[in-house]
Amino acid sequence: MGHRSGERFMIPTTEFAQQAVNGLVMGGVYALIALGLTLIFGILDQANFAHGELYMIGAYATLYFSEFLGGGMYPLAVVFAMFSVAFIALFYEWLLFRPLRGKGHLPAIISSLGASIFLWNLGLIIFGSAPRQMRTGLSEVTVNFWGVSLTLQRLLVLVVALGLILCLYLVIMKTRMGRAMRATAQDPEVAALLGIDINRIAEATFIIGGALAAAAGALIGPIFLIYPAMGLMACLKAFVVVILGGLGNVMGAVIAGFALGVIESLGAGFIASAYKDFFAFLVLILVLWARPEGFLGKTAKKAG
Amino acid sequence: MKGSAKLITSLLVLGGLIYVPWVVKNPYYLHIIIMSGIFVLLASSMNLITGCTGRLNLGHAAFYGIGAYASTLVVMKLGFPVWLGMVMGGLITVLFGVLIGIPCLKLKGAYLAITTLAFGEITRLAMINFVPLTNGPLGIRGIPGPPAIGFNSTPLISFESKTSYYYLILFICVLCLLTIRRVLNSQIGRTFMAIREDEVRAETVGIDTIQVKIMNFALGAFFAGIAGSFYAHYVRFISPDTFTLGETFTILTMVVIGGLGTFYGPIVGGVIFTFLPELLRAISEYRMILYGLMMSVAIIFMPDGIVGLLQSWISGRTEKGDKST
Amino acid sequence: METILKAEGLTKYFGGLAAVEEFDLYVKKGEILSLIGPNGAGKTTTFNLITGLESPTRGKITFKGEQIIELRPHEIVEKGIARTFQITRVFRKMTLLENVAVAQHIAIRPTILSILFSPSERKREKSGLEKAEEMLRFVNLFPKREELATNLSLGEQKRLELAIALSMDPELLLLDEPVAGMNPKETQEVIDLIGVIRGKGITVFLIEHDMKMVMGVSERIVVMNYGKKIAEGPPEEVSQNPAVIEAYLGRRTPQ
Repeated sequence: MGHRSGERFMIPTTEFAQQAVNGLVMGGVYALIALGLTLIFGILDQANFAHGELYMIGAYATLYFSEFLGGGMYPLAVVFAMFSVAFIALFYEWLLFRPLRGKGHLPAIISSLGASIFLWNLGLIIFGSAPRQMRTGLSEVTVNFWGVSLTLQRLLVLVVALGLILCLYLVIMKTRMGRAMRATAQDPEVAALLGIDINRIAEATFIIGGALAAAAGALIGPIFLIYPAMGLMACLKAFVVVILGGLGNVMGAVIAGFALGVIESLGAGFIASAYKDFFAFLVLILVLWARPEGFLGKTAKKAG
Repeated sequence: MKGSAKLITSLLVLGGLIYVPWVVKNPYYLHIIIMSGIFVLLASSMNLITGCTGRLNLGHAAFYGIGAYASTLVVMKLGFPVWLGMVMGGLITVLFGVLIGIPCLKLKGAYLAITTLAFGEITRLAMINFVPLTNGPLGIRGIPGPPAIGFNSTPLISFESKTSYYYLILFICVLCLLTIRRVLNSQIGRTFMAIREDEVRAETVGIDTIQVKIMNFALGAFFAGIAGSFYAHYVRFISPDTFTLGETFTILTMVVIGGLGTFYGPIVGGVIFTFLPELLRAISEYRMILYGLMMSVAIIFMPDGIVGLLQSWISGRTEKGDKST
Repeated sequence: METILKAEGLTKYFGGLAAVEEFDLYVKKGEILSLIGPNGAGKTTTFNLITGLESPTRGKITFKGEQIIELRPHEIVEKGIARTFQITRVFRKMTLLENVAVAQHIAIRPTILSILFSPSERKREKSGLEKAEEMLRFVNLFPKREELATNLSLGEQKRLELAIALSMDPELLLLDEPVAGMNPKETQEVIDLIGVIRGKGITVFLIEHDMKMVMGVSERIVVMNYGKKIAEGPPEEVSQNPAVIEAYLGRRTPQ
């Protein structure tokens, strides 16, 4: 993660700021993944346990597209990857969720769990278990401001994440589809009576969720190594973010995503880096103990 | 099936099972059969929580592991006899079941799944990191097996060969499964189902859902812990690598394919999915891919599993369906 | 006659909206009391408050002299109050027999150890199942006892709800729209059942929209509108009350 643990003697505030900014970068990634997840929760009232695999496939797709397209085509590769994964997400809806619509919460959890197991093991076969490195040249350039340094890639992550979040906001608030999605999230029965087609809404939700998760994978790929099981931990953290921000709460997912990124980064930087992943769990359990509905949450009714 | 026909079938099956070691001489095959016994217990215990009460517990392997480590440590560090250690393993797991069950009381659906998953992973990390207690990732070797059973110093049954272990796990399974069956067919079993169907409604018919949910976790933990204890003293080596999320997924596949919420489902699932890897030796890298696929397909097309399918097929042909399975 | 249930100053706010406001109510032991009012008047909320599914913002509820507001729903069942639901909530993938038997929980009170080891436990279970069968006979559903509840028609589900409620051995029975959606013949069957129930000394408190049924069956009626009580008294009185007529806009629900 770039935390400079050997240089703790440096001015604490700079170290703090550095870790915090790194955390914001990761937070942007978490937010992107969590947004798709929370949309699926809020609009379709289902849990997608295979969401991390969309992130993973997004990373690999970007890798392959940028190799295919040649040097300097990384942005285009990202776009292609987003389209591809959005398409795969459509299959999620058609195969895993639509047949189980209306049958409660447990079946969809199990079907998406099965898909997750299927996909990441398939990834092991297709991509091999050896982690891969994505090179974009943007990791070579570093930007410095206010005592904090960021590679261009990390800056890009932050900028693109914020941009996509803004786009999502515009889609949800300003478009017809967005209004229909909000209506369905509020009251599916009334929405159906108003003539809103739940199947089209579901497809749109998955397409958006898939594209965002793919973007997250595409952006983070050049920073860390890519491996087939990367979706598992990402999915878990995305769930933590969604639960913290409240199921279906879009703003909550964004805030909680950035918050988790920063907490993790500061915790790993100043407490113990070996237990970095632990923090997400710890935060989850503490918050759920205090508020079973999540931190900024909706009612627990949505959860089960 | 009518009561007497059932009894006769059961006795025949039991007889067949007792006869197994005469037929199966190859220790490796016997080992697989013994492992299937362990997995039947694991699947049945998970079924109590996830199938009957409808509460997805993705940390179930932790109960398995706690049973194994608890029994091992109690025997090797505190000097308890192995038989007592195995029982203690189950009881200590119950304690953890209650400890984990309490914060999970208000959680449902995905919340519950993620939290139990988190608990499972935390347990595994504890196994890896509490080195003075658990010896960390290296695991614990040289766990003693059960002492020979006999009078004075004449051993009648010694646990040197797999055959004795086979009879032991058979005995444990029969005992545990009879208990589970009794519970499922009793008022308690009905309260489990009521909570699965409509938890709020269950409260309004007089069920103390908090008490029942904790009891449910405790029961599931107990049988998984017993399986773990047996495993420890059978294989005589345990390490955190055995008690992973992947293991929980495998157990979940057993329950889903066998039949969520049924009594025979986890038995069928446990046996099938212990033997399947052997049959699929040639394509072992594709095993988990297959499991994932099967789990999704099953929950969509046969949500009550193989046993559920058979049950509805049978009751479609007879006047009344037999609901007691 | 003594009062079996008393609500004083009962108030429930949902957000800024008062579903129930300063509602006073008493139910006399052994009577048949009806709670009527237009849709959204707060009737079901009142039931929810009594049975512990919601907690009041203000006010108290006493049952047989005891405060019951802080109690959990299952504890209220133990005290002797049972209810049915307006939109039937039966346990769908369980058989009718299991549906009714599970409500025997307070009678049987099983624990793991007792289930496994106590012979009297088995006897209690057996008598619990017998009682469940008796309840099903009472509501005329015995032949279907091995069927899954989800296969029942609406009217049958309502009768199942009644059987479930009765098997909790209540002293006070809360019925939320017991004849909604039923034809005249079914409605009369339910009215007869209520008569028999009353005859056993059980107090009946019901919510209904079917005016003919309400006027025919009740000894006393309480009328609610916008969360407040607007009238109370015997049927003849209440039906002449101008405030009541106005609340219903002079309409009587179809018979």
